[in-house]
Amino acid sequence: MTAIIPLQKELHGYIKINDRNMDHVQDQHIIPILLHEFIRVSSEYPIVFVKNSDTGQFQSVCMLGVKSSENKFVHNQLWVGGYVPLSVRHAPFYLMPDPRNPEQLLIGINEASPRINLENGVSIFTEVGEESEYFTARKNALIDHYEKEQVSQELTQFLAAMNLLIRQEINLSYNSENFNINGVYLIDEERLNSLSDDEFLTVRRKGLLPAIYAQMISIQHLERVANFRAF
Amino acid sequence: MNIKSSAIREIIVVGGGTAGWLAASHLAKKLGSKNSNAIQVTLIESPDIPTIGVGEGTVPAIRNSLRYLGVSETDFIRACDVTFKQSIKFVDWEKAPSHTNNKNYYHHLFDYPCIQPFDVSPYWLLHDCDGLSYADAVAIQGRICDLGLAPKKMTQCEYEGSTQYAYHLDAVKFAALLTQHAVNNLGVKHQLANVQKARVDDAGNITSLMTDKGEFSADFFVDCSGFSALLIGDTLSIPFIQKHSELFADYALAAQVPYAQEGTPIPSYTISTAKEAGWIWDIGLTSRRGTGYVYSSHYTNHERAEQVLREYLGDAQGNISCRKISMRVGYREKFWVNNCAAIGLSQGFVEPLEATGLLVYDATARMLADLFPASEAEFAWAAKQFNEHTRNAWDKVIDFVKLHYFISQREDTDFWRDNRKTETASDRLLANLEAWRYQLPNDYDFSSRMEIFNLENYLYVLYGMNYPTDLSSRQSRYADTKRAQELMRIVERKAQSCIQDLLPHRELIDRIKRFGLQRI
Repeated sequence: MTAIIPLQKELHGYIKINDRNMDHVQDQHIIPILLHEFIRVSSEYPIVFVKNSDTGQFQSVCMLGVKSSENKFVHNQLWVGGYVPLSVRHAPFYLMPDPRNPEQLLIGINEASPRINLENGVSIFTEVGEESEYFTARKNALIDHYEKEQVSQELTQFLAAMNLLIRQEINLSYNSENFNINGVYLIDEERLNSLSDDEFLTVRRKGLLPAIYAQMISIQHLERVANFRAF
Repeated sequence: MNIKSSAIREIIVVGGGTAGWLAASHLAKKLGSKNSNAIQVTLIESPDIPTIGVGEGTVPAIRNSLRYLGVSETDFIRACDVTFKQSIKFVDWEKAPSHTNNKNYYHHLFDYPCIQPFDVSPYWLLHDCDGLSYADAVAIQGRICDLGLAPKKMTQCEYEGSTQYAYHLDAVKFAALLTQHAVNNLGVKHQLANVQKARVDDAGNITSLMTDKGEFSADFFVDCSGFSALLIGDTLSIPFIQKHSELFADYALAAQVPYAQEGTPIPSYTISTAKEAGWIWDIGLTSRRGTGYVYSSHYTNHERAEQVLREYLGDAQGNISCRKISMRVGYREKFWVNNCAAIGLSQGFVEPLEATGLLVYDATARMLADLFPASEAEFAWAAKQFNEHTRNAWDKVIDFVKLHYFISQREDTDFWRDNRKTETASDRLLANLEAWRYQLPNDYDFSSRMEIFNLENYLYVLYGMNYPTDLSSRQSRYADTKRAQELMRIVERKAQSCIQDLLPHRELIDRIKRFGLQRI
């Protein structure tokens, strides 16, 4: 499924990337997003928080379906929604620890990615073996995402530490089917409204208000996503 | 009498071990001591007298208490060398060890067994289940313990788990954590001083304590001074009723043992291994093990006891230092007299076979807080309730601990043989065991408020030790063998599915230390 190895021009000089192919997320009904993306995401998809199964820490995600392994926004290998979440865009490239020096990160490539082929798409390396402009842009986007991820993680933990998250079970029905979504966490509106002046100021100063309100509004999209059909 | 002047305003707790801080915390929490209008709680402890320093096993009720008191499980785990406890594994209790029986152990699990709405127990008794142990027939937790797995996942919040669990902890660090929490968050006042004498008025009420830091007065006193029992014993002369005719062990030889290597797997249960004149406890904390031999000096001597412990530890050279603690088993004739109540070792003590120390101290501290009167006029009634329930609790604890010895089949020493003499067991225990020769224990057998050990506990021990309940006179009631078999298969499947999600014990502890547990 994945075979991520360090990117090397000796091995990967001839590869082309078709980054319109979305097969790598066709089975993912939830996708991690950064706090920085909340405003954009919230106009189309419901945003919730879930716990990372290895660490128990909260992670913000958007929901692209209400059934496990069902992403309604990938159809015929293409994204049929509007906004494409950042974490989806980077494939087949990943940041990975340098095998020779694990403190450092380098760019890895998933050799099994459906985005890789030999004919269609953009080259990673030029004919003279240098990084293409395309690849440089991708690399910079990856690094930028990584840095923003650290910030997003920290701020998410801060929301939890302020008791601004609450566990919620959501029941939906469509097509006379009932769905129970559990293990998701939302902004606790009651708590938000009862923050002391000092606490509220701290939240505001960290720039979290837009994200908080975006999450609260975005939950309206749940029913639309449940009912969404690409065709 | 002026009613207002007899209102209680101040409580002093004497002693800063776990019992003292639990008592102070429960009182302060219940009475709202953070508020200056409420009854105030001060804990006085000696800076010189060490606490007993053992007492490292708990039961699941401690989770309720910690959560109720507002302690974070993450903080607790990080500060007190905590590991998870899911069971007590009793080794060599039923039969003496020999080269033929390798599986001579049973688990007394914390999980409630599969006995409601359909009780699998009679079917396990009546039919051969391919060597399936009782614990494995009625619960998934035994398998989880045997596989060395932790009882919870990182995605479960504080105090929640896949199975029922309690903790092993470092007693000294636990007292320190409780100290901090009580003082910073619950409004308890902390005073370091050596108590020399208590002043008592004509009515028998303690009025104040004379210490090396001055005199401290209060309306109510809680004696948590340990075996010394400064108030309930020395001052109020309440007799101690000793129970050595039932429970023979009168010494413990305790040792702290480092792990052979970093990363050694830690069992998520207490191990209790029966020996010639007692038993050895073995508790794994994160940084070391706590072990000790509980023995009777009437059936062995101290040199031999030390040999037995060192043999168990594989310490032929005698490098590990041991500490001998004399244990007085029994309890006070009364636990609450006038304006003084005793919690902790001052109250009573039983050998720690079922981790009853912290259990009873926590439960009685909670009860004291729940029953706490507003004025002197209410003392008599509250004391009566407290005394009755506490006495009942200790009697039930003694019965349950005695049970382990009484139904053993060990013949190897006088210690074991004498433990089965009927004059060494209470009438209550004898009557119960007689009835259980031909019927299973049931809920009607455990009807009081502070039973401490209930139906499920007795089931695990009785049938872990293959107590010979003969149901043949009732066999026709147990005709639904298909359903019983299906249920046992469901237990097996649930176990397998649960096991997929659980980490090895030490790994979970490491992750919790690193990432913490969420509160929700």
